[in-house]
Amino acid sequence: MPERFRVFWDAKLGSPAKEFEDAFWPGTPGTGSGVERRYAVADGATESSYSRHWAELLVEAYGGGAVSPGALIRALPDLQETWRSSHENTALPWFAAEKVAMGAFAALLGVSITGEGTDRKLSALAVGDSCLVVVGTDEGRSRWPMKSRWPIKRSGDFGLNPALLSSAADPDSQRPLIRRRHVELAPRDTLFLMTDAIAAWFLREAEEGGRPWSTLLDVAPGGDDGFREWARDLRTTGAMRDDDVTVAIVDPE
Amino acid sequence: MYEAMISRGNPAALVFLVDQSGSMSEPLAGASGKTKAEGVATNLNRLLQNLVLRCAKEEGIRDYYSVGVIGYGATVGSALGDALAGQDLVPISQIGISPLRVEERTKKVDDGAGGILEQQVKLPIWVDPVAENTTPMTGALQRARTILEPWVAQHATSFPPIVINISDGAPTDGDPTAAAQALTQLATSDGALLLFNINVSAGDGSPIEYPSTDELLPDDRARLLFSISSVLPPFMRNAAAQEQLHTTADSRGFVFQAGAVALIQFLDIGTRPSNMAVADAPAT
Repeated sequence: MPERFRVFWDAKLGSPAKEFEDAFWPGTPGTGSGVERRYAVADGATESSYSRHWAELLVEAYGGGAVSPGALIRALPDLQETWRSSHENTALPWFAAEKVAMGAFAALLGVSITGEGTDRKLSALAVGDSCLVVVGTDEGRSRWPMKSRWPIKRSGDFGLNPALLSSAADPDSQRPLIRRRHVELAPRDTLFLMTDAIAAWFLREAEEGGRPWSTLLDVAPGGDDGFREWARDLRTTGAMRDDDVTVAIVDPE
Repeated sequence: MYEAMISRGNPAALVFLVDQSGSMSEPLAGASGKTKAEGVATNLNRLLQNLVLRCAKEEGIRDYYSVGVIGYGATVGSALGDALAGQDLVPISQIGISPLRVEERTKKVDDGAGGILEQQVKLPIWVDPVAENTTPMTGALQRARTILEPWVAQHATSFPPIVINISDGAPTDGDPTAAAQALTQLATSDGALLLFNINVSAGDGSPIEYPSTDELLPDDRARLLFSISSVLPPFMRNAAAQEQLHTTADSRGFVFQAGAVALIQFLDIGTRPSNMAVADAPAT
């Protein structure tokens, strides 16, 4: 059974789309096929400059095969050089030059799925606070238990200044903590890959007895406009922190 | 109260009142031979640099803040120069593009392989040390009200302005109490203006930091500054706690007999909204 990949995103309230600093892979919705299907989201830190470019480089690297911690670490120097050479410029004013020297930062979550039907396996990699939730289902049953929530398990655990991937090749900086997880998937499991603000909303809803997976799947047919209207309502009422949001949904077609 | 998110549509205002009287030429305790005026200027320049960098993005500097630096000594007026001369309250984007000069210093850093690398760092300068004449603090507080009254009217839902008064002496232009009260009556829907005072010192006495009462203060000058200082809002108390400083719900934004370390901590705690998540600039 092919997998369907859908992605929805929205910039912060009042911010134009050009200031959106998340990134996702693949770049367009579609149907996953092939021996290994790769999906990723990245969340560029607002306080750094050119974060979106850095987030895009990271998801492209994951989509291109840097799916293990070792492969990602090996890919980083080239990614950092690509980012630096794109933005370093001797004509920059002092503050812009300083921001480029400080580098950009981003969280990355990638999942790689192999196998088909009852033999699907998921391998995930995460740096920072973007979050994967796997929701299982049985036909005809009303409850959809969350099979996996990772790497953050509780809504209260967001906002702890997670270590992010840096575009600056700083010899003083420690190797980033890259987490790894493997999950055996059932045929009808649905995956949600989310950046932090919407992941925090999702986990809080679930902790309070809600069914956030159903909410998102109900919102999805409304397309980008429907998602943005829904997300803006949540932010306006304070139910979701005002941040760039991205959710990628991978489910059986 | 004191919870408004800071954004380009809802910016914040920071005003620094800087004593430029003659006694600021005395050494600052714990500052390796620097005068009080030099220590204050160095820390203000560093603070403005960090503030600009926090607001800088690829397209330029986002105006999350307006900043004023009012000097008081021979005169009362803006301590900013060149392109910013005479401007009392300046958007942070204009501050960023208009330093007096950008100095270069060499910094030694660890190269990660047991060696030392020399790195060039840029230090933008907006404020130079000045130390001459008397201490017209009352006039400076009146000037702050003149500057901020229209700002508050135009930003009725913003985080309220923060005014930080840095001095080493007593006012020479009369009792500042009425001027301070008039200033702290300014308010937005998020709370009253916050007025914090720091007394910088040349002596070896331990600083008295964020007192809750004036009982232990040594003299009338200290009690006066205590009486015109605002109570620390809870998030600033949290910032103080991170610096291992004890505060209570009644603690005032006031430090007496501050040396270099207490000055740095005070500026960090007193300008803490610059570290708060701004509505359109959260951490990730």
